Amino acid sequence: MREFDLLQPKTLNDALEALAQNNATIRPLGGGTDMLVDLRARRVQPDTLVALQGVNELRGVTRANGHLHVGASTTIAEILKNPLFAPFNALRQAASVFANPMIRNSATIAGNIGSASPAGDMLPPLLALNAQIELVSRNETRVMPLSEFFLGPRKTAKRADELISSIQLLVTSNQSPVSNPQSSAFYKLGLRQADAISLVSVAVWLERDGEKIRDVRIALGAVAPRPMRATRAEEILRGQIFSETNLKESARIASTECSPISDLRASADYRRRMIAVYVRRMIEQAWQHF
Amino acid sequence: MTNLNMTVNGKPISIEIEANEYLAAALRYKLGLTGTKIGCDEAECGACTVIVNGTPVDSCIYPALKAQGAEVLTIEGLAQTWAATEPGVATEPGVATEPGVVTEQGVVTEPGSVTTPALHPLQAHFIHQGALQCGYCTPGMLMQSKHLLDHNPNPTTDEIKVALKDTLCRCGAYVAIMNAIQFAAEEMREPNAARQTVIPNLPATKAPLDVIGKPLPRPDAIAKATGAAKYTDDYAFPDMLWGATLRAKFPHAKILKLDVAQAQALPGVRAVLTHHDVPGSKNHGLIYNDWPVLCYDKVRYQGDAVAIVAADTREIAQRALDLIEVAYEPLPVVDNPVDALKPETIIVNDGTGHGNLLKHIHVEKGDIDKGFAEADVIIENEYHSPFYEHAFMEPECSIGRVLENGRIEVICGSQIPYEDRRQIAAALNMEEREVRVRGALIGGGFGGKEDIAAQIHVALLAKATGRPVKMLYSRHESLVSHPKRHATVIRVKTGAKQDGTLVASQATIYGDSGAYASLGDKVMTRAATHAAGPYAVPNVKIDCYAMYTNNPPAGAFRGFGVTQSAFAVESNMDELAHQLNMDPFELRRMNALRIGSTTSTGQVVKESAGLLECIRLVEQEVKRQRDSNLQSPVSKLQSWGFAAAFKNTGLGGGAPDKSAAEVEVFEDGTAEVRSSAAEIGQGLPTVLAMITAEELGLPYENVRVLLSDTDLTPDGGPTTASRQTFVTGNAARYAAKGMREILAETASEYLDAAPAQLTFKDGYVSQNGHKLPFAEIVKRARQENRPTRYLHEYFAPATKPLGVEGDMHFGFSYAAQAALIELDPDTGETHVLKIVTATDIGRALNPLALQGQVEGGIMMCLGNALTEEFIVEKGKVWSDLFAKYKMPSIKHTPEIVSFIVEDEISAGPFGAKGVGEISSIPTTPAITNAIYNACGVRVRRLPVDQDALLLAMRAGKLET
Repeated sequence: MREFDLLQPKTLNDALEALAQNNATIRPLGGGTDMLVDLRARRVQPDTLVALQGVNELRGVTRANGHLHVGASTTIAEILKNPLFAPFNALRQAASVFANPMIRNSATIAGNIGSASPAGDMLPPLLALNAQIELVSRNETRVMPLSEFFLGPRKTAKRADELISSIQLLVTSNQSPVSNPQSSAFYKLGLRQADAISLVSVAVWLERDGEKIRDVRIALGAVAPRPMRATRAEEILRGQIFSETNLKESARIASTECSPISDLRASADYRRRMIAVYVRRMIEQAWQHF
Repeated sequence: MTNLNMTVNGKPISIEIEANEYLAAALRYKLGLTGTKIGCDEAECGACTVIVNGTPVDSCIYPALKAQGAEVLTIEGLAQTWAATEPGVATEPGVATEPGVVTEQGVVTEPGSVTTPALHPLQAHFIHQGALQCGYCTPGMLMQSKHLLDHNPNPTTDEIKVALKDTLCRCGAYVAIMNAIQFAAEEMREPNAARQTVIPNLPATKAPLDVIGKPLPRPDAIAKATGAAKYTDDYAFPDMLWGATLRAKFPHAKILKLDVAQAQALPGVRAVLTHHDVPGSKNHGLIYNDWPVLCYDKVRYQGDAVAIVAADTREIAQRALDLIEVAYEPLPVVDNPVDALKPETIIVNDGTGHGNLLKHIHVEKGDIDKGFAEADVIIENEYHSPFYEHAFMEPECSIGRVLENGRIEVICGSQIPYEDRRQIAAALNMEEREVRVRGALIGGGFGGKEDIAAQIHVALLAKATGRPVKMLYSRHESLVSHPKRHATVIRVKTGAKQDGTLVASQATIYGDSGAYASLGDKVMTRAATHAAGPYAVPNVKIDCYAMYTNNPPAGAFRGFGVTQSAFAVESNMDELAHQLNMDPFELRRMNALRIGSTTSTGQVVKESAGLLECIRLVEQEVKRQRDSNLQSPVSKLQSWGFAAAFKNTGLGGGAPDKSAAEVEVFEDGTAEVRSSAAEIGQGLPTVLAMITAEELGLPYENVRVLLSDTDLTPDGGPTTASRQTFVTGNAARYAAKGMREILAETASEYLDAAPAQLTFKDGYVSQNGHKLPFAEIVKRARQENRPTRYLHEYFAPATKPLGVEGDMHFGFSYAAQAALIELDPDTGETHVLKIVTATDIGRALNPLALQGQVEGGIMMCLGNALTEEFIVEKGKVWSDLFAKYKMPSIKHTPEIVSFIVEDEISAGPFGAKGVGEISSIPTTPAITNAIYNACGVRVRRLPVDQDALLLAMRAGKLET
């Protein structure tokens, strides 16, 4: 394998300083579970890696001002363990089927986002939960909705001198008596029951008001160049009674909103059908959680 | 270079390390802790699992520098974690002693702990439950299990499946692994409680003899459970170089120019060799000498070797490959066997003088036209199966070195050591006596380690450099280079009377044997001779074409062609049963081979035909379960499917099938049995030790086994065709008998009895209440100048070639299986919930090892049906990483109910036949027949494609 330098900064400033050198072949290294396999296969050939493991500012999960602030270096395993993630069922479901337990111990949430694979497991739940992403560089800090972050396959709005510093999720749980109950669900369909790369993945988030769905977000993975929201399918359900007819129609619309490809793993047609099946199943599942 | 300081297994360690080094490699090559295995180097298989600061990691992709200051625990340190916390744990050395007698299904009478102070309870129970076979995944499996039990002292089966779902075991020992973890957990919760030792999944078998028939642990089990077991890559020599192979750039191309000057000039490179540097035979091959050692005129598949390099480090060797210049003229790619047979198609390999036709195999019996004329129902269909990959957990590795006297030694994991010796000698233009092949432990083979991999290359490089050279294939290289299971196209036509009597069976089979012959001829012969199924059919006509193409070579793979034809014929049989409105069990029973039946090749079955009993047992169990469990979940479709199969034991077809074994006895009352026969995880040393112990009346643990060293052990022949238990088992048995006769001569004088009246038992020789220790007899025999070693060359019963009247095989094993599947009608996803299996293997020599083979075979064939497909597109391998080849994991493990039928074969050791392959053959059609019963769609193409299945269901089509 090609040789590279490994920088191990101890502070965020040092890490950002290194990135600001604007060396085109410098890359941040989170858990390394994607990067190191890619390196060995010579798919990426950076001269320098900046390991973020030792940067304390990127760690930690805290709750404040109705938001959950999730440090970039938070591992997938921590999402499963930390009770602060309890309100975000879809996120925990995705974490529980994310690669394998050892990968989950290393892989970070920012790494999965930064890789921006159309099939990244954590992305649909984060979209369905309306996550915000915070980017830092030596000169500025900016926050944007995650839905604006993904530009295409492995392309994002992050500049080479920027790091993902955190993810923010809105918590409006039972602590606030006025808010409506919320629920979310996630499913990843693999090929032949193998935990391989997903054929399709679906995350939904619901807010309930009596027998009505007050608000809804539906996010789809692996069926478009980037993880996407099925906004037209959401429209069918938003503000409506939870009914068999609406559910079917929304699932049907979702399957037309996406643009999957045919490849060795499955046909585009099959992927569309599975979107319809799992949008419906996930909304039912989320509703049952109330 | 940076200094890496960490604590490994409690000891502080400081080593120099580069930024691009990984923890697994550092542990193995810098610290010599070779218990941690590397299976894939891509975090897919879990073999490299170690615990860093309390967390399991895939050490193959864990940068070593990340472990700065960390506490690292490897397999070598596992036992001490238990000894440290529980000093007073059970002291009975239960592993080494005989666990006692099986009284009923799974229960062993001797109570007490199996843990010794030297082992962690997980290690002890893995050994005792048969949860390790080839042993290569075992260290990773144990470390992952330890982490699970650290956090969950009482895991359910489902929790174990979640925790271990990405730690792969290709031997398929998952049932035993789950049991072992639960027993270990129990023992760790209550270390001092008395408890009965139970092996829950053990099938009922005949009453054991002194040793034979008992569920004894493997002789190498402790070494495998503690990380002490040595596979080829675990060996290192001073001044050892690393080798690397330049593979073809195209699947089919002329080589126009080959320039190695730049590569040779790279500092650290010690040799760069091409075909010019092969002094002897330019080709190698098991039956046909058609496979270039290094390509000279053209390349015929993507994995072809063009040049080899030896260098100071693995990295330099890899970099040197990039500097070798090769100019190619690409040629048209032949990518399927049907095209390969067309006269206008370019010739890939003329190894047999018949163009792309490697072999046309013709089987004929009776009058096929007359047969179909008599048929009331005719079923005709075409079936397709893809290439499959063995995916043994240990990638190929060879070490070559020049011995002091100029001889060449090659250490490798080979299924046929003497064949390696012949081929190495031929390529190096040396005498066979000048070559020594030493077998290391093998991390799985399944047929994939019968052909030459790097054995000749390391010998050439060692000779060129005068230094030891190691070649370790990456997983990618392993996947693209070694032979696969044949992809096939099989058209089967089956004719029957209205009452179900089969009257005619016809098949046309195309087998894709890839670029080189390997064992393609023999594999496709087996596919053809078994293509009428395990049935007596009066009129048979089978034509099979084994073809050269530009795909990776296809050769031996557990099932040896019968896996493919059984899928076709058993699917047709199931369809026939439906057409005739007959019970599928009844249709098979009516036609099953039995004593007096004649096979497709004209062989009359004279003994040991337990198929009817297999069918009866499976039918009884399935009907019992069906009656007792009528409800199925509303949203899912559940159904049973059934299939039967047979498989020859031994080479057959007129090939001389012999094995030699030597037994030596020692004055300490022990014996050693020796043979060059490969242990690939199946349990051969267990069987040889048991047979020798039984015949000499020694305790099992007093017999050592030495395998696979061409200087020290006689030729046991290939580990193939489920033959070793029978052939080398017999060789060991007769060698031990011969040794006993000599010792009886000595003992008879002291015990005042005729030699034939003496009893050899429990380490004593006795007669009428007088007895002498075995050790004493050996001492006296030596004083009397009697030999203390005995060699026996065993020749299996002679067989006849295909097409010649008589017995093509000396024996067959039989099996029947039923699968219960669950199908999601909205998505086409299929899960196997349960397998009921009955296997006729003649005699269960060791029920524990036998069950391991049965369960492992089922897991492998479950992958064949549902999860696996080795994809090659226009000669280019797509499945070139484990991430792109999905074999079953622990979470695919169904409930397995296993029955053993012991219909003894007279020539077998204690009546035993082969088991390695038969267990895996009926699983695929049992699953696909169950899918038909669930949704009405016939699967004609493997593996089951959920996409196509759903489409067919939606469209109301009857097949996919």
